[in-house]
Amino acid sequence: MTPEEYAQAVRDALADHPEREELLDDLDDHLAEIAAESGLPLEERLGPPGAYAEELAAAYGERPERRRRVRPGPRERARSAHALLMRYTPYRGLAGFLPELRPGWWVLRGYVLAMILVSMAGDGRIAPATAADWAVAVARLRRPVGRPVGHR
Amino acid sequence: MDSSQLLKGVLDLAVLAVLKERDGYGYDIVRRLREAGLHEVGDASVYGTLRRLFKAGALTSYVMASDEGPHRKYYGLNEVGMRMYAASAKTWSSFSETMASLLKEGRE
Repeated sequence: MTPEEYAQAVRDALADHPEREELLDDLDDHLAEIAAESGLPLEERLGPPGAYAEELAAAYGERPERRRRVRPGPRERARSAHALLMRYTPYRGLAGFLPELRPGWWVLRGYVLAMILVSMAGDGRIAPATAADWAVAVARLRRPVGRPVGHR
Repeated sequence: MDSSQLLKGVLDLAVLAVLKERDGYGYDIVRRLREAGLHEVGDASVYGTLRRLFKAGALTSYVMASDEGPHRKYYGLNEVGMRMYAASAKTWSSFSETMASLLKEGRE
């Protein structure tokens, strides 16, 4: 590999480096100097160009675009919005009040669920209507389905 | 302990020290570091360090034609580099004194 080829391979290995031109400014002359001095092929003297490029970039500093930029998920965004809004008194008041509404929320949720079940049943019967039905319902509750009476 | 690991932390200072003595071009600096006893110093590490110090504004550079080969880009310390050298040298001296006395205590 000639110094030019070696330099090109290093350049290629650092193709995604944002400061490649600054970093490799006088690489060609530098490599030519080493080649002229030692007479050995550059791969033997310096190792493979890929490894040379790695070492170069490490010494120069971290590649900025290699730093993983994590896009915040919806949960993360909501959390940061909450943190931001907590600076404002009205929002703080509201946020402080919300936990007190929790029992109401449970009731509402239960009600909505019941309404969904009712609409699915469709026949308008949402509670046992007769005494016989009551007996069956209570028996079902006390003895789960699938366990025959009188056997253990 | 592998001395190349230790070298990583002080390569900046080593390069600054070499340049404080006199200006030099890339390969010349590698050679002088090796002659001073840092045999494991990697060519790419030195070259990357030089470029970083240059970007940080610690070095001046100028090109000189050489008789026998390619143009040479010489690097030298400027004001910023001198201050950087002085501060790092001070830090390193006190650190190495601490380590030396720690190791002495360990031997006793």
